Amino acid sequence: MMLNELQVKQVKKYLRKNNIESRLIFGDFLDHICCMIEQKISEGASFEDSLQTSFSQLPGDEIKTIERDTLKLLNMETSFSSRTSLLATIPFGLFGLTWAFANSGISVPQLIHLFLFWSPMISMFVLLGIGWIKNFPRWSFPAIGFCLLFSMYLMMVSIPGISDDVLGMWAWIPLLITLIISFIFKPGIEPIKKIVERIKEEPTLILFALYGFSPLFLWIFCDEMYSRWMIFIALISSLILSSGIYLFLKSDKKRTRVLSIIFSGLLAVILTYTASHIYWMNH
Amino acid sequence: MFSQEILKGTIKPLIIKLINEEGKMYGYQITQKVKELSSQKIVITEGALYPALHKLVEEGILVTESEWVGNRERKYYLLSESGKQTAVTKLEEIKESILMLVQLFDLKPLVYDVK
Repeated sequence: MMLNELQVKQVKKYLRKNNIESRLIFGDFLDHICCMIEQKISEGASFEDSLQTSFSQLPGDEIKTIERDTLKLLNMETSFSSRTSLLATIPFGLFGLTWAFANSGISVPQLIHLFLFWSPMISMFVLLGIGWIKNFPRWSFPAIGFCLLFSMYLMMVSIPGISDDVLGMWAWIPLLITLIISFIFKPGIEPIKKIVERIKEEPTLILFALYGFSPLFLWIFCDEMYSRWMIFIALISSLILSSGIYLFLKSDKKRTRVLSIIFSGLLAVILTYTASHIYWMNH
Repeated sequence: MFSQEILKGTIKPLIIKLINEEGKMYGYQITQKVKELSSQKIVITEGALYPALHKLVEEGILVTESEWVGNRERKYYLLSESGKQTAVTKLEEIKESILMLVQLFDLKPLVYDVK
């Protein structure tokens, strides 16, 4: 006897309740549990009894562990260790420092100034390169978004001393060089396939990729605002944005992941917007 | 029942062998088939089966095919074209290693005794 629509829905509800998010695992276990129930019914048990026995034989936390193990084996993890999650926030931290010093009005030696200016950008391109070599795990997604949007932004920028005109297509050179170097280490298009696969599995990763541009966006937003208290605004905003990245990578619940970047993004924007509003009211 | 630790390295070849014989199989069917063939002595847990199946798909040895069964979708696993070649090699490899283990554990006389 095959389970009817309502009965299948109960199994789906059980899987959802236990936070089974991966389409691969969800489909497998939906059929697996349904088969277990059907087997028990064919042996004479009632649907309710079969359902409860099957659920106790395959508890939700066990299925969740299987999901985690499978995704890890396929290099498709959704949640990472605290160490990995913290490491992924480094470029955001560097942006915070750059932003804080650039808008503080404090003069620093040229060497430190150059380091502060270039280190966040370079760290993002390095992260993109490592991401390519490792088939783009989730922690490298902000670098994808950043490098693409940064190159697009740079197209409209002119750098005095290099050219009076906007950079145009030249703006894509850093990204191109990064990709060439990454390609030397890992030839082939497998990393691109993995990006597509991961986005298919969880489309909100696009949002996470775009989130990578948020520190630079806020910094640009504060252009020409020079004040000592901008140090605090920059550091607090960067800390908020970094915590968004950390929570996104640490959590194994899709809802928490999405909410963490939406809330931290909004909070950082509100803080920066308020600060700039106050600043321009007084200047 | 044998411990999962002992069976660990044989799960993938076992899956390949069964699918090679049956043409295509779904997860639950594999667990039941193994139980049946081993007279209930070997139970492949879901925690061992599904990661192995997905890894074999990722390696390109298996492919999947979905079919609607009643009110749900069922995923069948089958050997890919290249997987059919790999299957032969993998099965030879496991046979050779089992024979080697038989020799190492000095099991031959026991086998003869049973016969």
